[in-house]
Amino acid sequence: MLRGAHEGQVTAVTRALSAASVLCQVEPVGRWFEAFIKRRNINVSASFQELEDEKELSEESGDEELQLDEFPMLKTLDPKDWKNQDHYAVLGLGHIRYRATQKQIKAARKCITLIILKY
Amino acid sequence: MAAIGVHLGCTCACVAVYKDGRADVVANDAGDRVTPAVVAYSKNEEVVGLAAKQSRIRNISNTVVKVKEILGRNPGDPQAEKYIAESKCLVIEKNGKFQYEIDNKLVSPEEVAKLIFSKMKETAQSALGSDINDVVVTVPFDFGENQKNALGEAAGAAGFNVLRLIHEPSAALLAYGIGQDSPSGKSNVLVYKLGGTSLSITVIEVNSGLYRVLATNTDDSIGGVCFTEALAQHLASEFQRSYKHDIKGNPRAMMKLMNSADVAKHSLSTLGSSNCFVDSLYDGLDFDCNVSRARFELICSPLFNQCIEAIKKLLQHVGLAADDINKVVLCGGSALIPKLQQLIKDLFPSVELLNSIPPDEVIPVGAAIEAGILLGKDNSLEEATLSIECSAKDILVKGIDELGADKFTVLFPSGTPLPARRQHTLQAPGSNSSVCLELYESLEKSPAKEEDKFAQIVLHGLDNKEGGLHEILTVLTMKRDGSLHVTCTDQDTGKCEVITVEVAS
Repeated sequence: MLRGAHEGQVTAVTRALSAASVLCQVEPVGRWFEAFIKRRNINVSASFQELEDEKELSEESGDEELQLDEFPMLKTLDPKDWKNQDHYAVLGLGHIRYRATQKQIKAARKCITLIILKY
Repeated sequence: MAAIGVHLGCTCACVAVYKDGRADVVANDAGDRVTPAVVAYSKNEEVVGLAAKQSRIRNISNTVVKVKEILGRNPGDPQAEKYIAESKCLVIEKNGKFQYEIDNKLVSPEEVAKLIFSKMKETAQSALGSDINDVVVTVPFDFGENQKNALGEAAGAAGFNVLRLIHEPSAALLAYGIGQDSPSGKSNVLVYKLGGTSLSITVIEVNSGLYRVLATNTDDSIGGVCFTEALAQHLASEFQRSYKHDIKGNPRAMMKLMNSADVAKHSLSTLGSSNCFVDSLYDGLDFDCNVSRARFELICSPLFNQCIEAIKKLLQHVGLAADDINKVVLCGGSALIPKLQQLIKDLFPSVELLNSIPPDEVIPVGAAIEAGILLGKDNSLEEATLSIECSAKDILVKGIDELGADKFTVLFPSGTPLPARRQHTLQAPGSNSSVCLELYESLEKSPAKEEDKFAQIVLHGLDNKEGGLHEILTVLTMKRDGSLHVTCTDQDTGKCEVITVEVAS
């Protein structure tokens, strides 16, 4: 719980911080260490997590547009001949193929299912 | 793609494979998950593992044990001298380096370690069915530069591509994924490793998913072997009682007893009692003895005390109380002993004791997880340990508790790697029309005083919410030089105040 402000109190910095940052030795293990080093090397100030989120968001929205374009191709495919078909293309991931992340494949499959059910 | 983690201990080696997002220890050709780090040289071949350990009775001068203790050490090192005095095979010094002399041939400790690494590689390959090169190897925290290089060379000679050498306690933390799920928050973890020949205790601070070693202590005078020895001594006196033969001076009989005691010790970790049986131990007499777990605990009680005292001493040294430790991780084969686990639990009554992964497999599992993280990345880390900027002091906010007394809440803990951002939602009574955040800085543990206050943030003209609560979103961002930026936003009205605090130069 925070207390209320007294009469006449205003936002103010009364003095500077007394201690600067200190150097510490850390163990070079774990994914957060890798993330930290990567972030330090590319010199970005924003949080690593935020960058990742933004990237994923843009990828996903890109996919959805693609799905609609690929749809006519679906109708030409013969289900019996499934062994010779490109399943990445069916999902609309033909442009990235094996580089597609789990998340993208999941989203693409969900998207294509919705489209097929609509027709 | 797969990668492996290898732990080479003084008495045992273990390998774990990282595949499909999981790390698992693989069993060797004998079906054991842990391979004794023993190499036996015979006329035309080298034998690694259990077979070498069992045949040591007949081939003692040509069997190398505990190679890790001498690896990378220079002549004159007291540890190396101690090792040579105890070693049963001949160690000579040549060109300022140690060499084993076996059957008139010289063998360097690196070559012995290489054979063990090759064995681990074979084990991993047979489990995966494919060739594998990428590996993370663990080293003890007190290993020097020379020893690390020697170990790295040995692994390289075995055909491995060493991704990184990591410390054993950090690997143990990684195996349990401590601090890996969410990057914020701070906790202290104690790693208790009771290996074959040494006891090492490490306190690690986990902050933002990064591990920092606060204190560490290694005691070479106690290890799993001591427990086996104590049990073997007990068995020898039992033998003397029933057959009136003193076998304590007979090295061969004692070694037979040691092997038997070792097996008994392992089964006593799971069973209530165990049977020791040795064929023709001495003078054609068979020896048969039943040891209960209670008896074993009684024999080893001075050793248990020594194990527990070491923890207390280390905690006292760093000035932490048992309550300051949030988690305890057990590793090393001897940490399986139920009595020891019980004693540690008694010492840390409110602490989570992590032993769900078998303690002798924790370290390789952690190494394999690290290997999985590093796999496929261009890995260019120059230094083994890195220095990074961390915040020096806790940043606190003063509030009141239910009774109206002052209460400080830590918003930004000390030791956080910079740059960092922390976000909190603070609450204030809805009947107030204004809110005041008073910010303090203080060193850990010392209570904040009035002169530690460095800024205040006031939000005026908030909506009156009778009975409700104001929610103030507070975001603290600290740059690498330690300067702080604070943003406070009232969630209802959107009113916002920003301050920037520089560091005094």
